[in-house]
Amino acid sequence: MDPMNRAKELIERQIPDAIVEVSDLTGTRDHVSLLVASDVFKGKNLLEQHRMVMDILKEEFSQELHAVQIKTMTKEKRMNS
Amino acid sequence: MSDNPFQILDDQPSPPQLGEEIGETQGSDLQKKIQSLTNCADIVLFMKGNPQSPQCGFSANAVGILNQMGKPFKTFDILSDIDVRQGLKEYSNWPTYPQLYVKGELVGGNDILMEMHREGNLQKLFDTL
Repeated sequence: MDPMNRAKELIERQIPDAIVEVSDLTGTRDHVSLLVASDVFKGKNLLEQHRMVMDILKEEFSQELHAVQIKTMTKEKRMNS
Repeated sequence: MSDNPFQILDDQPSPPQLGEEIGETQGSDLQKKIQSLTNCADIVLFMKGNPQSPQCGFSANAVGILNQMGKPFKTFDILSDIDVRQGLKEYSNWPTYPQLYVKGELVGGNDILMEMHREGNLQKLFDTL
């Protein structure tokens, strides 16, 4: 499985209610844009939200995942956007 | 260094080759060094390269945003110091570069910088300095 799908799966496993959308930034499937919508982000500031995702992907970063662009939001915000 | 503009993250540090600067600072000295670097100015950007020649797309983007804020800022080229480059990731529990610090606190990487800038929060934060 390529880094892109592995990243998505890891996040979905760690944040069960998450809606995760991935897209390939550069065609090499290791520079990934990630949108993660979940209610675990409620009440957390931006850094804490992103850090949650980064922590989940930490192992991946030492493997093949090179770069991610992260967007986090609550599920409610995702529905209205 | 690959010329891929998006290369924002270093791979596992390769074992130091002959002549490559071998980091001497370890342990608490490294912590002290990082502490002083992150506090050497109100605004410090740890990046790959320097503002005149950024070595990655995200670092260049971060500099571009900071240049619009009208506030002085310092940068540190993490490619020049393998210990700071590794140590800062553990220090801030943030695995990628660039990293922006304001008053010694991690504000975030490129994504957060862009989102805060877009929502005007970066200017608000800098206006408090």
